[in-house]
Amino acid sequence: MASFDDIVRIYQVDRVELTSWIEQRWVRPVRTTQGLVFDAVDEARVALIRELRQDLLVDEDALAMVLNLLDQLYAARQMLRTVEDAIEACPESVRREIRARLSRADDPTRL
Amino acid sequence: MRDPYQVLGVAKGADIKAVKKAYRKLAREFHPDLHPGDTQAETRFKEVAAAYDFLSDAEQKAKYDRGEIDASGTPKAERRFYRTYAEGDTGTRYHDPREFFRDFQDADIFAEVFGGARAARARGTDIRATLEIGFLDAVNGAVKEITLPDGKRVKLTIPPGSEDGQVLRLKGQGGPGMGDGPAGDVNIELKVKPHPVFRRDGRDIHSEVPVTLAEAVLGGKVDVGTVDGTVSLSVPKGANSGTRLRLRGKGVPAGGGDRGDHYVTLKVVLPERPDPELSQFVEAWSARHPYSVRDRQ
Repeated sequence: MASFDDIVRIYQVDRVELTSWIEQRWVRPVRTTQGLVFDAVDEARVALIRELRQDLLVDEDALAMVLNLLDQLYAARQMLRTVEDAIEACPESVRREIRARLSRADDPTRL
Repeated sequence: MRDPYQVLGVAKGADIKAVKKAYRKLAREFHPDLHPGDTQAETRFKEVAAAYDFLSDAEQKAKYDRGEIDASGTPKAERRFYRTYAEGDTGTRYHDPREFFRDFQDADIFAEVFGGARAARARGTDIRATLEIGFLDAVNGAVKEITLPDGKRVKLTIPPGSEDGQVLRLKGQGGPGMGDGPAGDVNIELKVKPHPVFRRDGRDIHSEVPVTLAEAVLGGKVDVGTVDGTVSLSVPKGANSGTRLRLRGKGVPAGGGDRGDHYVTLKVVLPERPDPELSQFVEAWSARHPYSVRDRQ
């Protein structure tokens, strides 16, 4: 849990820049009566964006695209884990069936 | 820690510009948040970042270059990368599956995962497959027994006049539907094997038929293979190599009984061995009947 000022200090980001990241919803801290509160995930997100901007020289416009693609990638991975967990919880016969179907999916076109 | 210059792959004592450039290149390659599934990436990135950190302090770099200090520093607090949160529950703050997987929600298994309240009903999946068939089976039609991916054996009717790349649908033989949803289809794409003699052009069949010198000069009947058996073809007197004859209605059957034609191209073939009698005759004959064949070339 960190405040706006903590984040500026720890990650050495510009106040205006951080504000714009929040406005564009690239970083989504929780708004409380004591001001913005950054969770661990938000902190890690700030660190990532800072690195993309400053170290990897990704410009503002490209950054929106990179973040969007990353978010889709993580959403897909999370989805895949959900599916994986669901499959793991199935009886062995069902899992065997799914495995067979997936390995057939490698070459779906031959009879 | 290893020599930071070595970690970044630059020469010892390289200036800060070269160090920064090398770091950017490696960071792009190994940033763990850009490679969520690669466990090596984090180790490699941390090493690269630490080397860059160390060298980006001008005073520290100068001391290290002069050999006054070694590369060991106080270890920093363990960094938690974004990727460690992104796939956990908190990650959904930044990627709402309902937003990114809207199209998946047509399949009700995903609709349920995403809390959709639609009835469990969906059409089964379509299955796509290819089937290689012979040239004549495609032309004349055939019935093939095939095994579907799920092990089911079914009879597939190949209609006469089928073409390469044509897709035949077995309705309702695909994946089972959900709830009272209909089963999917099996879509079978035909791959037609070429034929050693026949060539197909739309509804027409083409083939080349060798004839002897005598058949070409004197004309006569020759047996010719067609897609539905052997027929007798009249070769006119004085036929030539390249002469094209039509066998009407011997082509590819079409719906409504409107068949294509079979075009036979003749090819005059001399005896396999030079024949002295023939040579003598042609010598005497051509002296009296000279003709030119390359004028227009």
